[in-house]
Amino acid sequence: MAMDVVDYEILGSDMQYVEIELDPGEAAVGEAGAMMYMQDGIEMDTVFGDGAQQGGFFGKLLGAGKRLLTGESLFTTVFHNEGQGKRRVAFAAPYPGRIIPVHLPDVGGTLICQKDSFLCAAKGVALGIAFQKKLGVGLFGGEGFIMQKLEGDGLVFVHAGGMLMERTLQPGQRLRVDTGCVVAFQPTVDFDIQYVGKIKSALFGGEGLFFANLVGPGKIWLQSLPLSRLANRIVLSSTVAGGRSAEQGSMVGGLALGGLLGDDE
Amino acid sequence: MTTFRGRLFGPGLPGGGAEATARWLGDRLEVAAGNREWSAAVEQVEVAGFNGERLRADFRHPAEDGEADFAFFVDQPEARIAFAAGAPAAIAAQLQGTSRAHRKTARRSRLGLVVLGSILLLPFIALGVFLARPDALAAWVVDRIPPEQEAKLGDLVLAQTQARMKLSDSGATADAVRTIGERLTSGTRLRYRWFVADRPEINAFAAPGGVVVVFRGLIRAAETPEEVAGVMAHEVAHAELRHGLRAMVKGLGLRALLSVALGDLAGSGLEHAVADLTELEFSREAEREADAHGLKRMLAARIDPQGMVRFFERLAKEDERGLPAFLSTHPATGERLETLRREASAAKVDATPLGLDWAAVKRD
Repeated sequence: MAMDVVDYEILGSDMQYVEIELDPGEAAVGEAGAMMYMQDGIEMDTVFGDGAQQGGFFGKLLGAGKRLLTGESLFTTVFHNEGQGKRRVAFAAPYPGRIIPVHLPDVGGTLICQKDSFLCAAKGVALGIAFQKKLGVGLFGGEGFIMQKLEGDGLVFVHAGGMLMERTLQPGQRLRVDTGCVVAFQPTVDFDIQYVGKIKSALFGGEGLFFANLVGPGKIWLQSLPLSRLANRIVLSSTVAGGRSAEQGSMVGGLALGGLLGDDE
Repeated sequence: MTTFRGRLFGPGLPGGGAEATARWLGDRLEVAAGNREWSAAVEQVEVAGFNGERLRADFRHPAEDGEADFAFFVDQPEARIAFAAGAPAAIAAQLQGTSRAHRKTARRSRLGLVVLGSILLLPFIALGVFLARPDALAAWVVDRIPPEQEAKLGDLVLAQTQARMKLSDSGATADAVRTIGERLTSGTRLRYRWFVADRPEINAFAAPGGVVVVFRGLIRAAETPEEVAGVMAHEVAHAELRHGLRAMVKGLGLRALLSVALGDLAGSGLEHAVADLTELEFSREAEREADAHGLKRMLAARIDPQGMVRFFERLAKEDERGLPAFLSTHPATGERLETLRREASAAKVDATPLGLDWAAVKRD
């Protein structure tokens, strides 16, 4: 299936969005709710599934069901350029982090990524699921049993929290990663878990019981701040949610009514 | 020799690997990517990558700075077949091993998922079994509760009842209740405690562990002590047959199973269940059982069963609309009365009067 070749520009530093330029007749698919703005001449069309299946009703239903499993919406939105010249449409990341473009042919046409991390793609990219068959990895690998599989030969944009880093592993090269920090990897990469090794580290090291163990060759993408970690910190420091508010020691903070009278809101 | 497609990784190649074609040439694998070529003996073949879905052939080959490791991945089914078909003997043996290992992994993964699924489904299965056979299960559990535990539960009920109403265990009324009760429960394994509650309702209850409470309203409404004995026999039967315990086990079990199945561990308190004990509504089966057992006890204690029948009849007639609490919590009154009347008149008994100064008791 011919993919649409798109030009793009990623804007912003820590809260990014990506602007995609579509030639007349070209289209892009976006995660429902990710669209930020679109220029005149771009038409929006909501399709069942991922807009890539050519099959009948059941094919579409299957695709949609898979999308539901990965935590995405049943529908995707397709943005066509029905105008005369080049038009732009922008997709924004839902939380602080980076957007990375991945050119699928560079990774052999398939990318396995964290569920929920898909932001947008050139039309024709198939969004499927990759079921984690190693039980231990599914339970303790930090990514769960269900991951997303992006297939095609166009551009996809993946988003994750914090800094996103691309690393290349040589054949046999190994990298141990904190569970939950693996955003995406090429399917040639071996993804397994490894016990931290010492009982003292397991209990008090604060890294959990297992590392994600990635063995090359291939490209991997890591995030520095998984959303769940950020959310935990926010809840911990929110008095409303039952956490402790750490006053910063400034006069204003100390004299504020909440600080003086306690937190009986 | 057929060529097959794959992906080659190694020094001097893009990080994401390069599209390559390969073919076997004797013992050596010839790989071409772009305009470069490699030819080397494959050292080993393994399943590799995500879920072990690919085959990886490792070989060493001279690169810019000495010998380096290269990895050639085969992914597509037709490529795998071509790869296996042309492989030299040593590699073919390894391939056999990998496919066996792969099948083993797949089997283990399936088994693991089944186990995991059953663990997740277990509370629901338990809940289903429980809902299908609640009485049998509750009876099974109750049979394993020792009388000492039951007595402790009785203490709890007593403490909770005392918090809600004034109970007395001395005075003419309490003595009369004890006299009747002890005659009804001679030879029991339970340690009974008899109380009178200062409440106007016509009611009585027996909690697990042998706590029996008779309301003063019941004493006032009864014309003879035999009538009170009838009600008490019924309540004692509930205690002897452990109906309260059974209902509690059922309720607690259901609540516990529900909280495990639905993941809500709050609000599964024992205290709440104990509080409910005094206001338990038993099933029709339990009521019928208690009627029969109570009648048996009355006959054994040589108390005239006609007192029980008369009392029920009068109460039902007197107040057709607002039935007294004792009767209203008991379903199908008409049918039960009929059974009771029939069985009481069929029974041959040479009754011994209870020998209580009932007028004095009522004045207390």
